[in-house]
Order: sequence, then C-alpha cells, then structure tokens
Amino acid sequence: MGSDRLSNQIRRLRLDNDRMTQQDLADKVGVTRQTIIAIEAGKYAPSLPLAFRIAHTFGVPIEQVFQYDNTD
Amino acid sequence: MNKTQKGAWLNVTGVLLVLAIVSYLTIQIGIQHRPPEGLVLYIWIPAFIIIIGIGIYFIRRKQSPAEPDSDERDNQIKQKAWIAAFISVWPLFLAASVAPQFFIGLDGSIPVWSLPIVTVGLFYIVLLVYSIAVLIQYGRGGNNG
Repeated sequence: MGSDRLSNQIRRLRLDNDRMTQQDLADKVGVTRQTIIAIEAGKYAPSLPLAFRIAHTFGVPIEQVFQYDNTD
Repeated sequence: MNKTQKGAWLNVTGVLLVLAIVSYLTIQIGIQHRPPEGLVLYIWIPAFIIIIGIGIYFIRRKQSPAEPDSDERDNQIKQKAWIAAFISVWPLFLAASVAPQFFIGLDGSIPVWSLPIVTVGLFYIVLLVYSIAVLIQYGRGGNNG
C-alpha cells in the first residue's frame, strides 16, 4: 500500500490575499482558528465541503489549495 | 484555545476538585468519624462555585465573534474522546466491584452511604477520561485529531 500525503498551500494563499490571518480565514469558512492551524500544519484533513469553502474564499480551484500525493 | 478545549480544562479542574473534596470528606466523616471544623467546613462550597464561575466566564469568551461553538474537527475529537471514556467504564466498573473484596473480605459489608460515592465517583472519573482524551488530541495535533 502506498503512502498518502495531503499537502496544502493555505499559508501562501493567505499571505497573498492581503496577508489574511488564520482567524480571518477561520471566520470566513466557519471553523475555529485551531482547525485552520491544524490544516496548515498537515495535522488535519478537512472534509470536502470545508476544503471547497477554503478554495472559494481564496477564489481559486481546490487543486491549487490542496495537493494529493499518492506515492507507491 | 477554543471552546471545546476550555470546556475540557474546566471539566478536569472541576472533577479533580470534586474528587479531592469527596475524598477528604469521606476520610474525615466516614472513616475518622470527625466532622470538618472551622474554615474547612465553609470554604469549599464558595471556592468551588467561584472556580466554576470563572471557568464558565472564560468558556463563553470567544476568540472572535464569528467563532463557532464547535466545528467538524472538534466533533471528531469529541467523538473519539467519548469512545475512550466508554471503554474506560468497564475496567473502572470492574475495579469498583472487585476492590471491596480485597479490603473488606468476601463476608464483609459496606455502608450504604458509600454506594452513591462510588457511583458518582465513577461518573466523574469517566468525565475526567473524556476531558483528558480531548486535551491529548488537541495537544498532540495528530492525524485528524
């Protein structure tokens, strides 16, 4: 079985969007700041609706926010 | 800290406080047959109320006005914590059932007043397990936790 890795560009996208804070992003997508911290650190995989809300907040396709690396 | 973490810390503080008070009163009244005297008799109820009141105040304070009470990650963490608490019930219940036999003997008897203490004490210990499981998951920040 290969190893699955989900990475994200949330921190870079936040900084590119007027240096949005983690709290601002959390408020926009309806989660707590701790959840955003965990997602950025790769410690938590968001649900699909949350992932889409994050992408919608940045105005980019979801593939530009989250990358899935299935290495065999 | 979010509301779930604060609630877990309040639970840990409250449960440990209650367990300490009940243990003290059980030893003082139940075993030594001496009622508590002086300041000890009157201080613990207002102290408990003050600590819980302060805790509730901090729980209600939000990091931002839009902060939800709990989100999907909080719900996952709480679900796993409840599973840990449920699993802990069985060994605790077994220990509470078997332990008196070693202290009192198979032909011994226990006073009626000890039964609610054991029952409520088990409840509080399970609540403690739940809260610690919540805090461990937040602190560890592990996969999906």
